[in-house]
Order: sequence, then C-alpha cells, then structure tokens
Amino acid sequence: MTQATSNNKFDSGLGLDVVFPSPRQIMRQRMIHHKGFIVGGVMVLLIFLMAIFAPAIAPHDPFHQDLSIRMIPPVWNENGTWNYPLGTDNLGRDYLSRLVYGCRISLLIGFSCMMIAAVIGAILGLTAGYFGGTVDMVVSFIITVRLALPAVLVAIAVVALIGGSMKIVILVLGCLIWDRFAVILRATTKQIRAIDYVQAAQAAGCSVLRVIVLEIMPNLFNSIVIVATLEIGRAILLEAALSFLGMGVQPPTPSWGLMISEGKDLMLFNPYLVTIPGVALFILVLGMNLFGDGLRDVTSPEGRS
Amino acid sequence: MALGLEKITSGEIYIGGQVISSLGSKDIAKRIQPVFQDPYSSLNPRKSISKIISLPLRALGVAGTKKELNELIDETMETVGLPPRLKYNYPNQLSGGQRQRVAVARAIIMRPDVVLCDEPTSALDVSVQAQILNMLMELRRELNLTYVLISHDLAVVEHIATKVAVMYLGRIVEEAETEKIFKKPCHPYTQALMESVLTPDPKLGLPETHLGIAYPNPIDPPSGCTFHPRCRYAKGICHSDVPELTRDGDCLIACHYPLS
Repeated sequence: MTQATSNNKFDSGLGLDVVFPSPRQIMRQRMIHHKGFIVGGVMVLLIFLMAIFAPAIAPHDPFHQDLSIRMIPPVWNENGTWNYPLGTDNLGRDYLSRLVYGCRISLLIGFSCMMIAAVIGAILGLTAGYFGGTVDMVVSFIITVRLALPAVLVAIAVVALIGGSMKIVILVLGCLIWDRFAVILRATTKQIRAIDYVQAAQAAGCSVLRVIVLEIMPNLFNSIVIVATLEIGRAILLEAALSFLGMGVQPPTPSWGLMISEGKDLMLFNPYLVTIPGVALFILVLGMNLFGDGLRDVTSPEGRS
Repeated sequence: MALGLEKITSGEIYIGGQVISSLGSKDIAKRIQPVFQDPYSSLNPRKSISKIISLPLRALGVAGTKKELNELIDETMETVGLPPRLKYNYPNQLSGGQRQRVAVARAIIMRPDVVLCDEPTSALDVSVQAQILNMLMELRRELNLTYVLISHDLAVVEHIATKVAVMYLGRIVEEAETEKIFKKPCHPYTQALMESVLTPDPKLGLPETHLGIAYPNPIDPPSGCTFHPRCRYAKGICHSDVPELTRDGDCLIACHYPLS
C-alpha cells in the first residue's frame, strides 16, 4: 500500500488513489473487536512474560529448602506473610518462585511438543491431501493407528521403559499428538488442491514442491496456527498428567504437574498446595484455547458457524 | 490434457509439429498457458497481483533481475488494461473483470504460442464480457496468439473463433469454419444447437429444437451414434454403428446421414 504514484495515465484526475485496507489491516480491526482473542492473548502474554522474567519476579530461589519455614500458608490465610505470598511447600521452598519457574517448563514442553507434532503432522497431512489415492490411504491408515493408541497410556509405557526426563517427555509427547495436525491439514489440502489456482500454478510449470510450499501452504497457515495453539494446551496438560503420575519431569525441577502431584498428599489440610498450580495451569490452557479460537475467528470469519 | 495436467489415454496432441507427451512440463508451460473459467478461484487469495502475474516467470527460472521483472509486470499489466498501481493489491480487492484481466496477464507474460481459454467470460457480467473479449481479440493481433476457446456461448464463439468444433458427449461431431458452421450446420446436433439460441424478443417463445428432454448419462453413453436417442433423423444404422469423423466438402462431420 505504499504506492502513491499518480502520474501514470490510469490515475490522472480520476481520484483513484484511494488506498484499500490491506488484508493485514482488516485483520487488525477484527482482532481489536474480538473479546476472546484479547482476553486469551493477554493471559498467554502475561504467562510468557512471567517465564521470560522469572529470575526477576521470583522472590526466592525455587530450589532452596528450609525446613524451619515449611508449610507457611499464602497471604490471604491468617498465618500468611508477605515474605512468602503464596506460602511454602512441605520442604520449605517458596511456592511463588516454584510457580514462576514452573511455567518455564510448561511453556517449553508445550512449544517443543507442538513443533515436533506440527512437522510430523504437516508432512503427513500435506502429502496425503496433495497426492491422494494410495498415498492418502497409507497416511489415513497411519492416522487411524495413531488415534487408536491412547496418548497417555503410550507415554506412560515409554517413559516407564526408558525412564523419565524432560527430553524424553518432549519427544514422546511430540510424536504422539500430531494426529490433529495431520487430519486437519489433509482435509484442507484436499480442498485447496481442487481450486483453479493450484492448477494454474502447475500449468505455469511449477514443481510439486513449489506448488505445495508456495501456493498451498500460505493458505493453510491459519489452520496450522490455530491447531498449534490448541495443541500447546494439550501438550501442557499431558505433561502435567505425566508428572502427576511420577512419569514426567523429575523432582526437584519445578513443574506445575509435579507441584500438584507433590501437594496431593497434604491436600486435606493444605489445599492451596494443589489449587495454586491447578489454577495456573487452568489459566494457561484456557488462555491458549481462547487465543486459538479467537485467531480462527479473526483470520477466517467465513468458517464460523 | 494439453497443459500436461491430465494423462493422455489415447491419441496424441501436437504443438508446432512436436508431440506434447515428449515435452517436459516446463516446455509445455512455455508454449501453452491457461485462462480459467472462474476468476474468483483461479487467483491465489494470499498472493499480491504482481506475484500472481509473474508466477510463470519465477516458476521457470527466467525472472531476471528485480528491475527487469518489475518492468515486465508493469508492461504486461498495461497490455491487459490494468493500472500498474494495482500491483500490490490482493485479488479480493479486485472486481471480476479485473481478476480475469490478471488471469490473462499471467497467461501471456511468458509470450506463449497457445492460450487455452476455458469459458473465459461465462463467470462475468455481460458488459465485462464484451471488454474481456475485445481485449482477447486485440491481444491475439498484437502478440500473434492462438486461442483454444472452450465455450457454450454461441455468440462468443461466433465473435472470436475462426474454426469451430462442436462436441456432444465428449466427442467432436462437426468441425468447420465459423461462418460455415453458423450458416449451414450439417450435423443434426449442431443444427439443434444453433436453433436453441434464445432470442431477445419474448413474444417468439422458446425455440423448438426437437431434442426431447432425456439427456443421456455421459458415463454410460448410448450405443452407436451417441446422439441417436435425441435425433429426429435417426435410422437403423445409427443405433448400432458409431459414425467416424469424415471429411464432407469443407467440414469434418461424424454422422451417417448429414444434412445438406
């Protein structure tokens, strides 16, 4: 939209130098007016900032144990102090610091699992949707096999066999949650492949790879981003579940799932040990889903029902 | 098929004396370019107009420097009557006629020998149709193009074509010079087709074509001459034997009993 030349023969004196809103500008307008998108975005953004500035926010060392100050309740309890705003756990570690550092783990796992899943799912979905026929049948079979395996169960089995660590949890989860990417991209690619501009690109002499990457992929971008936000939420929940079962991130690393797991023994008398990380997890996943949903509405309003 | 998008099951297509199946997809792309029917689906909504028009150049790796490419895009846009200021716009900001002009620009930027027009005007308003058709005729003169025009609109065909092949159920039934076919159709189907054109005068009513209403299933076409169930001149042989495309005077015709 930067073009402002009006000296060529088409524009002279016609007042045709009207600037159309670009797709990006239209999208920005829609973003501002979408409540779910804004709320979800702010939630996610806050948690992101928390992860980035963890050392500055956390008042204490999340690993420092001091049994003399164990089980201090949060400030809103009568015995709480501002020194430990969210209290301390049964080993005397500051709960707020552990929460702040824990969100780093959750986000890291969420994003890297999503990346692995996106790559696997996109490759499978795009090839199946583009080539169709036998390739599609093979990929559909792989997707069905994957859907037949319950993710948590497989993850537990694998982690039990090779032992739990963050790397293994990320790899296992990444290789287990690509199904939604593959299913959605396969369907959308199929749809787009039938449209004339793909044929025009083929007729122009584009190679298969070029058609897929430069002509089809940009039109799939919305779907990819939306599925990605939802998958991040799913991966974070799965990691929390695994850690809760003792199969995920190993102590003393602060992870939200692990914090819930460690707090569950003392839940009866100190419910805050479970509710605080639980609420944090809830906010992150809710924010991610609101953000993803909003992104769908903002980028392709015609797909809304 | 001519674009190399579909596999040829039988027969051959020649272009400039060369069999098309012997050419690579890039060689085909240099000689034949398409203009599609629907300008709303033939332009990628995520690409700017300049990207769309220059796609064949970039795909074949003959784009040259950025400046040359830009000049060529401007020049081509002016040839098809598009102001170059629309270069950075996206297809959804253009009208149907402008979009079709973009599609034509994309087709001619490589200076191909043949442009395949698949119903280039049927998705457009009548007023825009005329503009596009006149532009196509002008381009043909300026760039020395050959068009392969696929259309159901007889007025468009009469206006643009020099030679017409009439198809029925996937087969050519008659092929002749435009003037000849419109003045004196020989095949019963061509005759019915010419008679089916609606007149602007509502008092004249619907034209009588003697075709009946039963349109046969194209997947399972009738035996013999595929047109015989609807043909009022059909005789015994039409039910059993497929008529070959044979030369009859100045036209090719596939009928056992051509009208004279």
